[in-house]
This record gives sequence, structure tokens and C-alpha cells, in this order.
Amino acid sequence: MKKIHFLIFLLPLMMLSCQEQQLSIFSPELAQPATLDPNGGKWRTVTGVVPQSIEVVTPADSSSDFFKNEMLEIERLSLARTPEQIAQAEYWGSGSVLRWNQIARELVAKYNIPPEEGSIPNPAKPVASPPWAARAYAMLSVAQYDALVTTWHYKFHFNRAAPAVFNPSLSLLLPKNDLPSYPSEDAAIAEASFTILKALFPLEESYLKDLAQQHQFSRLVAGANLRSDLTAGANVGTRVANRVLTRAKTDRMSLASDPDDTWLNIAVPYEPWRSLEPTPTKPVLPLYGQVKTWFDSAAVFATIPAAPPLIGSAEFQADLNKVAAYTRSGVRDYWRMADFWADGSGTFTPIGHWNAIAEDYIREEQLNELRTARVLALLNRSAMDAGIACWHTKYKYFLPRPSQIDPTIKTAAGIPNFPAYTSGHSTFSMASATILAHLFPDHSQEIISMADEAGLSRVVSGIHYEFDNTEGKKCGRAVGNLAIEWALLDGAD
Amino acid sequence: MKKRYLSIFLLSLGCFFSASAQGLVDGFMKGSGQVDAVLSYSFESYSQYYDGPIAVETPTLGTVRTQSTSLFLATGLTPFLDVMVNLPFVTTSPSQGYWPTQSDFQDISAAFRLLAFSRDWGKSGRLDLLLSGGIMAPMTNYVADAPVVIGHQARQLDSRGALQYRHPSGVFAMAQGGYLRRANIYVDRGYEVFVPDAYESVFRLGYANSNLYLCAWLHKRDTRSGTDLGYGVPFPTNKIDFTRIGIDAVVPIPGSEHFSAVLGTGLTLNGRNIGDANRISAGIVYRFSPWNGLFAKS
Repeated sequence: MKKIHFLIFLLPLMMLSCQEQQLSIFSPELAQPATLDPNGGKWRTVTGVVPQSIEVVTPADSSSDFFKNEMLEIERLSLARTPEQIAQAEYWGSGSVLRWNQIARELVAKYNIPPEEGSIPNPAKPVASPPWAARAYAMLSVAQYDALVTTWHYKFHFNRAAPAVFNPSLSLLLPKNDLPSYPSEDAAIAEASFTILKALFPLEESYLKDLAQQHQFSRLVAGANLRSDLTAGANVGTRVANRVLTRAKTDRMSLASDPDDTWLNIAVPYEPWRSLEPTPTKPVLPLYGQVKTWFDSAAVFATIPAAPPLIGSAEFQADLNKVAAYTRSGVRDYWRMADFWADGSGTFTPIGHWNAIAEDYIREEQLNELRTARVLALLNRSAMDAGIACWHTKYKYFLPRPSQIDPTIKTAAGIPNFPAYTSGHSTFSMASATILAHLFPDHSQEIISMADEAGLSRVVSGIHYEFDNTEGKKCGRAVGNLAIEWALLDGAD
Repeated sequence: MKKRYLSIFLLSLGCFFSASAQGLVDGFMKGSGQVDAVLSYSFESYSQYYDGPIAVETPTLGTVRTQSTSLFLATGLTPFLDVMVNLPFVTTSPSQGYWPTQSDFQDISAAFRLLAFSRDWGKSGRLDLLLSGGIMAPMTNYVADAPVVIGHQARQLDSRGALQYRHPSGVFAMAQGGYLRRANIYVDRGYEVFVPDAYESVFRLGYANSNLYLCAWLHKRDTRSGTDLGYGVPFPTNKIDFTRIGIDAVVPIPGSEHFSAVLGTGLTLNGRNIGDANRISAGIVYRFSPWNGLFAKS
């Protein structure tokens, strides 16, 4: 009897210990673009780059030895694919603008760590705070988009068909596509993304270089591009991205951290904001509100709200009481909202969250690489400009957080180390939602209600007043409308 | 026979904290039909947190104090098989900063324990092999993803084996190994994450007779995988390791047939992604025999 027990109960013990840890890995399907957009090369670029100004050599004729050798190379590769190469081709084949956007989100999360106390800012190791990240996402998306407009111009200029058209028996790893293959959009995306991201995250250069090379090589393995497609596309990507970097050198971001500490001189007719960190710390990027905007700066600054209710006024007190009541209500769903939208340190930030939201709609509508980049470039410019307007507001009014006025207010989110008015989440989110709702009209209600929840989450968390939220959303909506104006005239519709 | 179980009963309480803290296996069976009901209270606190493996101050939290009240029930179904349940209510609060107190029923656990093998050498002592399995599941939707939380929300399967040697003088020694398998959880951030599985080892050295139980223990947890988030960001996927030591004692309450007092203390020697906590605990045991167990002779 004892023996039997022994065996029966040892069995589950062993089974449990042998099972492998399961990590859920998101693997989207291979992209099958819904449209070709032959006029994509005529769309309006963000940096003003004119496709014709970027020289792309005429591809070799299909009867040339050069061309035949290039075909031979990918035919050979297609016969000796390793499982790892196949996985890589499928990884990038699910949409490479989105893949590089994901990579950027991961890097932002990795670098979104508050600096250690008393540490000296290290340009090689940036702190990817939400405003910093907004600019990073915008630079990446703009470089991808302008590079793809240029690529599209030459694709339909040269009209070189995909390799599989020349050799129908070529085995393909990715769905057939009627898009002309020269220059390669993947190479343009890879090199544009690599150029931007290595400038933003200098310590990641070798990691990024490996990815860019792997991405481009995966196109040869997949039978989707010839080497000359890649060379031409990579050249476009690098050159367009360098224009974005040139713009970034003079966008005043280098002064956003306020090296002269001018923020100490901000004067307001009420108790000014102070840091609630255990050791009071300089607030995040005090001069980000002076960074160059993507859309018309006069229009962006026209969105800046009026002053908040005076501390001590009945209106202010009523709002403060409301915040306190939210935090004491014990409503579990407030915690869910707070956590869902917190996107605090160690995460891809609220703007990264909106990029992730956009990804779902982009995949659902099977947008091609060019349209994907357009969506993200509109989204991230809108978010960044909204962030600039918001930061300008924050340091103009320098309003304390609720817990500074009433320290008994406990919060369901970390209290950000910068002034309250207006809410960054509300502003970023409504700017993002406004342009996304325009681009994905079938989902507009759902998108706007997400932004509403994101804004409200900061109030029920106890870190923002309701007027921070309402005014922030108003400002964000106005900036989002500037993005819509741009989208209506960029030639894509 | 009855008398022997009486003494074993006292011995078996030694690590009744086990259900929540040290695993489900102590070295002593309850005895058929015996029921132990234990109401206990424990208090633990830390003011340093292991950021990865290095203990650092937690100025945003100050000192984090955790109080648990647990109801533990165990009974012997047969001389070889015990079942037990444990239900804790936990409150935890930081002394500084702006994170709120969290308070709720935490994770209910249920387990069985089997005396799988036993050899008695008479004057040379006795060797027991015990096996146990248990499940633990959150009772409420408490907050699991914040700097101050009462638990990680993961359902858990707990399987263990223990080998114990007892000398007739009352000295005993036990070595226990176990594996905790955790289910993925869905965090409020809106996605599913894994909670890493862990190995457990517990060693005990003690003395027990029918009046007194004393046990010194060492409890080590090694999480199989998991993250180290920067600057000590607590998250359910973190690799949480620790080594703790402590002493437990059970003393009968004079003049009472059914009641005993249980006292315990523990401290953390080292850890990873967990507070450097010290703990004291106290409880009352009520022991009675409302039935005779399964297969009882009438």
C-alpha cells in the first residue's frame, strides 16, 4: 500500500517540474498589403525632401549578366534556407515599419528609467521620458515615411518587377506582391530606422546594425528582393534619415533639460510646484515646451489653455475634493484604469502605447508599408506637438500635484516629477486619438473613448485634477486637428 | 496508539505557518481524525528592498509593514494522509510616500500530505518520507502590480517531498524539496505575463517531546527564471529569491486540554527583488477529534 502511494504522488511532482515555462509571444501573420498606391511617390513629405533629389541609379537590365547573377544568388539561398532564416524572413515579413516601431518601443522601455540621484546626464544613455520618447517616435516615423515616399517614387519610375516574376519557379517565403521591387522598401525602412535609432540610442548601435543587416538579408532569403534592390533602398533610407537628423540638431531639444535651471525662476501667484520625490529632483525637461514643432508652431501654441483655477478658490477646492474622493473610493476598476494607462518608468510611455494601439488597426486594414509609415508619422508628430504644447503649459503655470496640496491623497500611479496642469496623458492621448479616429473612421468611437479613459485614469489615480484632464484633452484634440489638416492635403486620399 | 498521536499532534504544529510561508510539508502527520484549527497573526516589515541582489533603501516607501491573519485547518483522513486549508487576510502599508495601503483576503491554499514511506529502527530512530501537493489561488481581485501589494495573483501548484529523521531523544532533522508551478496572470496593464516557477528547499533541526516543540529552520527559494526590472521595480515576472532563517516553538497553554500557543520568528539573510523582511508571529491552536478519520474501526 505504501509503495503504491509513493508512485502515484511522485508522478505529479515530476510532471510539474518538467514542464517548460511558457512565455506568450505575439507573432502576427504575414503582411498582405491591401493597396499598391502607385502615386505614393507624389505624397507630401514631412522634411520637404523631393524624391528626385535623391539619386537612385537605373537598375541593371534583366538580360544582363549582373541581373542573372543576382537572381542566381537568391535562387541558391532559397534552396538552403535554415529554420532560423525562415523565422527571420517571417518576422520581418509581418510588416517591417511596425517591427522597427516595436524595436523602438522596446528601446524606449529599456531607457525609460529615472536617472540615479545626482547623476550627470549622459547623452549616450538618454532618459526616455514621455516627451523624449515622443520625439524619438516622431523622428523614426518621419524618416520611415519620407524614405518610403522616395522609394515609392522610384519603384514606379523604374517599375522593376519582383524576382518571382522573372523566375516563376522561385520559392517564396512571403506572399506574392505586385509592388515593383526596386528599390527595396525593406532596405529603405531598415537603414532609415537604423540611422535614427542609433543616433538616439548610441549604445545600441551594434545591436541595431545586426538587426538592419538581418532584416535586409531576410529579403534575399525570402526570394523577395535582389541585392541591387537592397543597395538602392538602403541608400534612400540612409539619406532621408540623415535629413531628419539634421533637423533634429536644431530643434532645441538639446536645451530642453534646461541646463541653466531657468525653471527655478518661474513665478506664479500661488504655491508653486515642488518635487515630491524623497530627494527633491529637477523636473523633467523644463524647456521641452520650446522644442521645434512639426506642424505650424503658431497653430500649435494657439492651443495652450488659460490659467487653471487659483489654489484655494472654491472651484479648485471642489476639484481637489473630487480627486481625494476618487482615491478613497476603493473602486477596483480605478486601479485597473490607472495601471492600464500608467505607462510609467520601464515602459514604452503613453506615446508608445498609442503606437501599439495604432498597430492593431494598421494590421486589421492590411496597410502597406507606405501607408503604415504615414499613419505613424501623423500619429507621432501629433503626439509630439501636443507634448510640446502640454510642457509649455506645465512650466507656464507650474501647478502643484494634488498630493502636494493634500499629502493625505495616496495615488494609484507614481506621481510624475513635473507640474500637474495640464495632464500629459490627456494631451498625448487625445492628440493621438484624434488623428487615429480620422484615419480609422470605423473605429473612431472606440479610439476616442480610449483617450477619454486614459485621461480619466490620471484623475482617479489621484495624480491629476479633473481640469488638468479636460484642458489637456482640449489641447490634444486641437493639435490632432492640425494633423488631420495635414493628412487631408498630403495626397494619400 | 492514541497516546502516540497525541505527542505527534504537538510536533506537527511546528511549522503551521508553512501553508503560506514555508511550504506545506512539515515532518509530522496529524493522526487520523484529529483536527487542528489555528488562528494566527504575523507581522513583518522591511525598510530595505533587494534591487536585484543588492539591498537598497526604499525612500519612496519608507518601512513597509505587513500584517497577516490566517485561519488554518488540518485533519488526518488516515494515519497516512492529511488534508489542510489556509486562508490569510493581509494588510500592507508603506510608512512614507504616496502609495496606499493594500488590504484584502489573499490566496487560499489547500493541500494534502502523505506519509509515503516509513522505517522505524526502534532505539536508533525513525525515518519518514512525506509527499505533498497543494494548490493556491487568489480569493479576491487584489492589486498585484504596484510597489506595495499583498500578492502576485498567480494560481500555484505546489509539490514537495520531505525526508525526516527522528531520534527517540526527541531530536529531529528534516530536508525538504519542492517545486512551485505558477500560472500566467493577466495584469491590469492589459496583458498576460508569466510568473516564474520556483524551487523550494527547507531544512529543519529541532527538538520535540510531548510538552515542547522547538525548531530552527532555513528556507530557500530559487526562482527558475524571471526579470530584474531596473531600480527595484516590483513586477510579477521578477525573479524572486530569498534565504530566510527562523525559529518556531509550540508550547501547550497550561490548564487547557485543547489549546496551544505557537510562536515564531524569521529573518531574511539574502534576497532578490523582495523586501529584506523580518517577521514575528503568534497563534493559538485548537485541537480536537470530532471524528475518527476514514476507514475508522467502529
